[in-house]
Amino acid sequence: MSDKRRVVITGLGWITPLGFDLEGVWKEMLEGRSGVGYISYFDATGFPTRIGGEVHDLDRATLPPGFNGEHMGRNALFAVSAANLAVKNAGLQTDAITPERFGVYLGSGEGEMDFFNFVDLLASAWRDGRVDNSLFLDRGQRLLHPIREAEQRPFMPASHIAAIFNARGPNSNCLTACAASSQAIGEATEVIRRGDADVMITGGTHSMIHPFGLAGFNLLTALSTQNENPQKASRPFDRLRDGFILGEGAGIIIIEELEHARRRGAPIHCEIVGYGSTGDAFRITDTHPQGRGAIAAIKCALADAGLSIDDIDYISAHGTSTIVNDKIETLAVKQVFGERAYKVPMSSIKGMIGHLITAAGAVEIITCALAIRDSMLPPTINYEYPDPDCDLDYVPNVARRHRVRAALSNSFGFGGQNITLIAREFNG
Amino acid sequence: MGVISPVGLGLEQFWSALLAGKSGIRPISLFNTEGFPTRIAAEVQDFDPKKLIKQRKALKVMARDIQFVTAAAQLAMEGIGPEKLDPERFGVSVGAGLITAELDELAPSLVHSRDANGRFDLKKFGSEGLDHLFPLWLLKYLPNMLGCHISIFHNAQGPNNTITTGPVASTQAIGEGARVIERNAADCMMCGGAESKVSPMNLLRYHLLGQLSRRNDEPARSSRPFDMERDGLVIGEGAAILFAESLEHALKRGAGVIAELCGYATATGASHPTAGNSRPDGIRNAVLGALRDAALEPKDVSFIVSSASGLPREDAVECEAIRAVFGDFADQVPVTSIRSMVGHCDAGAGALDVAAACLAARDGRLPATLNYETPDPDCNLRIVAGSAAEAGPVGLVVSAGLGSQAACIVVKRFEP
Repeated sequence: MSDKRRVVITGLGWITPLGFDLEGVWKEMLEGRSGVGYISYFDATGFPTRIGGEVHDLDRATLPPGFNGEHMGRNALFAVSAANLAVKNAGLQTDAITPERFGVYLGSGEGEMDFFNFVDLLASAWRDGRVDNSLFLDRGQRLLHPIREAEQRPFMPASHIAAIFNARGPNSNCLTACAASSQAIGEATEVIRRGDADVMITGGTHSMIHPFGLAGFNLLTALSTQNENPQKASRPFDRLRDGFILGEGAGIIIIEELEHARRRGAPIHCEIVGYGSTGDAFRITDTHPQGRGAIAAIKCALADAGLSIDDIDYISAHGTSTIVNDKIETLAVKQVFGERAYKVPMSSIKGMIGHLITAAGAVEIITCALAIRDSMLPPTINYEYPDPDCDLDYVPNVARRHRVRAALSNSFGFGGQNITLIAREFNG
Repeated sequence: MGVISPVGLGLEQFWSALLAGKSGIRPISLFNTEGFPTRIAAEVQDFDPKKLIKQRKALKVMARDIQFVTAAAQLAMEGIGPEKLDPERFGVSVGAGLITAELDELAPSLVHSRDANGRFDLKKFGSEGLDHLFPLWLLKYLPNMLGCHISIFHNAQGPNNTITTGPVASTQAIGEGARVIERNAADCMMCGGAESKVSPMNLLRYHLLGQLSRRNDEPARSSRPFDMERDGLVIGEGAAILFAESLEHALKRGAGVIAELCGYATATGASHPTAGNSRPDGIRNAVLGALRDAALEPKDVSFIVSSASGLPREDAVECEAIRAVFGDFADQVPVTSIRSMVGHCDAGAGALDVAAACLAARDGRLPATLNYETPDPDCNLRIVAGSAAEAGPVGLVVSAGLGSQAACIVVKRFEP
């Protein structure tokens, strides 16, 4: 443990369905507000699910000066904006950092596709019951835009951020579904620990609130269809939960090697002390029924942190509001924590902002940092009907004052990739 | 190691084809390209997923990229026996691309969503179009499914990551996979990557960026890294999976060691990713970092496997970066690019390069760059041309990407 370089969080930035202002969004979370509403970007009225947690009025003022975001999709704009907020929050003079020691590691999803042009193109190439590829290629040259297409590649946000802040160190992007941004933070932590960089911009960004995203998850019957009351639809751990709600946005943090942060007098929000990554190796469609991979991820993170279950004061749940996830996550936590599981509060902010897919974990680690700072836990909203399979303390509906010395955050990806992170209050 | 490539299925086929200078580039057969300016690609030939993938039921939820990686993992794991490994100490680190949906599968849902005037109606898509897609449609194309499927088939319950940085993805995946072992979070990892770029959508995207060779009349001569007459890259497809393990673990199970991964670094020149102004500093820093990590000097490097793909500017930038590190010694280091034969398969490319470098280190032979005929003063390195050259024990793999991202790996012939 002791020979590892220590890694601290010095900057926080997010773009969420509840807004962009760090303190403002946090306040709304502590008030238990919901950012879920009817989908407005496109006509979703024909879909089984018509609601989502959209980011509204993305203020271009949060973009770095001189950056116009041309041809960039929503998720890249979220990322660049959140990174800009995080850099400011960290008081980071990016030109004062050695560029080669300054990296980027994100867990970004695919970029926003040029949906209507693509759809027109494909439908117009339909001939005699199949796609005429030669026609598709011919018309595609005029209908699609080169940069708009290139911008859809998942590493674009990480590349843009590197270019804007002149971060020339390690630069990567992982895409492990709903675990991606937590994994990115864990991997970025390892990059600093092993000495390959001193400062990393990390986190994730995603929007799957687009017709194919909604279609794909509706086909999997993974989404809630409680359209009548959007703000009540995402109900983690509640007996009437029936699926998750798509959210969108970005969570970006600045992490630094401790001495580097100290030298520049940085604000230290907390320390990242544990990272665990595992695979269920079970099925692409189902979580392991005993939570095998989730249990192993939590245990790996605890071992990495050198902490015991008694040291954990709060769990930021993956808590998607699907029937299976919430049940298995509860089971896994009980398996690791034993009797103490009932004493450690565990909440899911997905009731308020929906599921930001690859960006979810990064937003959640930011709430952990704020929970540690303020000794306040965000609530699990819409918790009304207890489920016998979910019998832990989910901080129902109302925020709670609670001292948090160490917080554990879970993220489980579709297909069985599991990540657990542990953040601890910084005490020198 | 397991390889699925346009020049052969399986490690030794791949390797003997590379040494023989065989091109995998042909007119595109997977779809009709009539009238399009570029009609050639490096396609994987004779790929029968049913023969190479035991889990036949899963095939329908696997995009071509996923089938490739699964087949490569199957080949890599032959003779290893996953039942002998500790599942929790066995992980996955793969590079994957943005997988595009198969058009014939997607189109019916759109065609059936037209209104009375023949216009696409989103409301109708949401209500009726969805019936024309199968329930697990989304899962067939998620990039993380490469890593998920192979972890399931080989019971790898350890760390599992999917890196999606395009041309540097699988090089990073292998480097980061080695780091996972170094930090003792696993004993062994399936590392590598896969991608199929041979689809109408990908052909169109590269064309829109103006990056494709148009030598349709002479496919085998189209991909010409470093050559004065190069006119663009040729899209390809393929996969490589390396079974990487700690030396101690390998010795304990009496494994045959192919090569040692001894250095890795990644960096970027931080140029704007779509402005086409790639800079050599990212590549240079990655090369320097990988050598430092391997505790080697430039003069210790016996050969270089380059990512030059036949792009006029990018090939020159990579050569400039290598020259910047090696100085005059660059005149003595043989350099090759296997992309002259296997094309560019993006997220799978680095893994094929590392596999080739490991084999070159093992056998002391380096494949030639096919089609290197007229030297370009901007690519002033010692390019291996004509026939395979002798190679020393230490190989450097250079992978460069958009926005001047770069990743490098150093491999060494194993000496017990």
